[in-house]
Amino acid sequence: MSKDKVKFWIFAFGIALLIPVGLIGFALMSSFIAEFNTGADPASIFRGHSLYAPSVEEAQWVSIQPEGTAATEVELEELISAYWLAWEALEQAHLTGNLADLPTYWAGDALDAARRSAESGITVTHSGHRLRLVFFSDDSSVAVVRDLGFSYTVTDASGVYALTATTEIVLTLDNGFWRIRQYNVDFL
Amino acid sequence: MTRKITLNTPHPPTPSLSQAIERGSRSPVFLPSLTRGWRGAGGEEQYSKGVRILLLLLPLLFAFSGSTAQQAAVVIVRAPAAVTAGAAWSAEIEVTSGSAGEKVDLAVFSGLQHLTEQVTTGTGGVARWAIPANVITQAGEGVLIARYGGEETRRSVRVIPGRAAQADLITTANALRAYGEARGTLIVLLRDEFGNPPRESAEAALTLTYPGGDQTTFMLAHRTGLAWTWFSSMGDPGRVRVHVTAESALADLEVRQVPGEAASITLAITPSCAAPDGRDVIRLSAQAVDSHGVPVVDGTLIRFDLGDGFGFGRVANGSATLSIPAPLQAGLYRYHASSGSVRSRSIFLRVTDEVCP
Repeated sequence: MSKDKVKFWIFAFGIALLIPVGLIGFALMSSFIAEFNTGADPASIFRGHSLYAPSVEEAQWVSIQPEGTAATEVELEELISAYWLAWEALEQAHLTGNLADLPTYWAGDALDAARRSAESGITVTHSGHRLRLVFFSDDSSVAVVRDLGFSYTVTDASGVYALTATTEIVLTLDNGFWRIRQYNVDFL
Repeated sequence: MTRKITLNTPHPPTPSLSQAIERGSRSPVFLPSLTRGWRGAGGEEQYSKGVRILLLLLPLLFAFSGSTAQQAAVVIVRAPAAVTAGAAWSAEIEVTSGSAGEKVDLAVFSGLQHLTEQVTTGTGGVARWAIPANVITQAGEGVLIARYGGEETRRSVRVIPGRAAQADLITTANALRAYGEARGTLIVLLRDEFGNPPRESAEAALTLTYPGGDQTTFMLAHRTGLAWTWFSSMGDPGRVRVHVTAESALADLEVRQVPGEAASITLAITPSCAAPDGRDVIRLSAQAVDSHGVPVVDGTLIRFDLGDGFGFGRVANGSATLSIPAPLQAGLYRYHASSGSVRSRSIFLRVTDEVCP
């Protein structure tokens, strides 16, 4: 093979290599620069709390005729979201051992109980919450919710325990957050 | 190599193991005949090949029979149907096979609490799980689960809450209009010493003491520790003391009964005559009272109309004031005050070069 031909193939190979590498490098550099231009997450000014509407399989209202005062659609959404997120926070606390989210959704003695529970070295899962609004105060700050027969699964070193539970929960609106303040759990 | 069993008594020949198995290993004929064979061995014992195999298989047979016994055995849980939250109690676990040394996994679920233990059966296949005081503290319908040999036995254990020991008193109206013209809600949250909603029999006695000394008492049943009632204002403005007792729980709260909206405004001016030299200050003072003649609540906004302008003042201790410089031109000036739709009678300021009386 002549010297010129070798040079040509080296050049051709270099060009063939340079094009994809250049494109990938350009894309990476673009995304890197773009990252600096996104600014703060606008939702962060709302203290990071998001309204999560659980799916029907996760949680749903089966009755919304409480004593006291009727709740609006928005209030019902806030309540069911907070209720679901409270159980999610408990599940995550069990899973990770990080209790930081618990005070957002649990308060008072219920918070203490949730903390002790999360430190017991087990994992829990929950689903199928069917909620009945039992009481709603006229200033929209206190609610009692009955959860009829949801699935509660506990896993520990000795195995998996599939349980069905009915709970009655008192939630209070503290600083804009619905929090579980009191509860009673009955295993069926 | 085949060995021959020598019998010292005349018996039917001992069947071989394969024959015995064909006839059924638990045949009542087979084992006695073997026993006779061992006893009859004399000084020089000789065993058949079947017996040797059986002897080798004995440990396996024992193990197999043990496992089938564990599979067949059921664990029985004896526990109190109801215990008080925080009390010490115990559960008795019995394995029906009666085997000692069997391990049984136990778990108790009560509220968010979860307690596990592995117990080992003793004589008669019985074990005891003692739960100390202040361990199971969360009330509700709990469940005790025992697992043994792939089987599970559940037993309900109701954890009864204690007496009401703590109370929170919440109102939906910190201030409401007096004279029975408004109502609010009082909510009581009751808990026992462990934070559980207390037992159902715990009633909350809610007493309201109105400014005039009148008292109203409500007896409230609770649900999940929450008891509530509507209440109405009564009498003149002032403080309503709210007190709740439920067993050993106490809580207090104060609600303010406030006057109604301004129904009448009386406007005064000081002085009513001034010189147009720009050195006098005119003080307008408005006293606003509600329909019962009681000064309106502090902070009520009063608008002062000054003819060619206006100013605002807030009521403090029943009156709102506004200080303005006297006009620089002689004449008769007209002022009035208003709050909402209520307006005072007009008053006049005379500005003159002459000497005021």
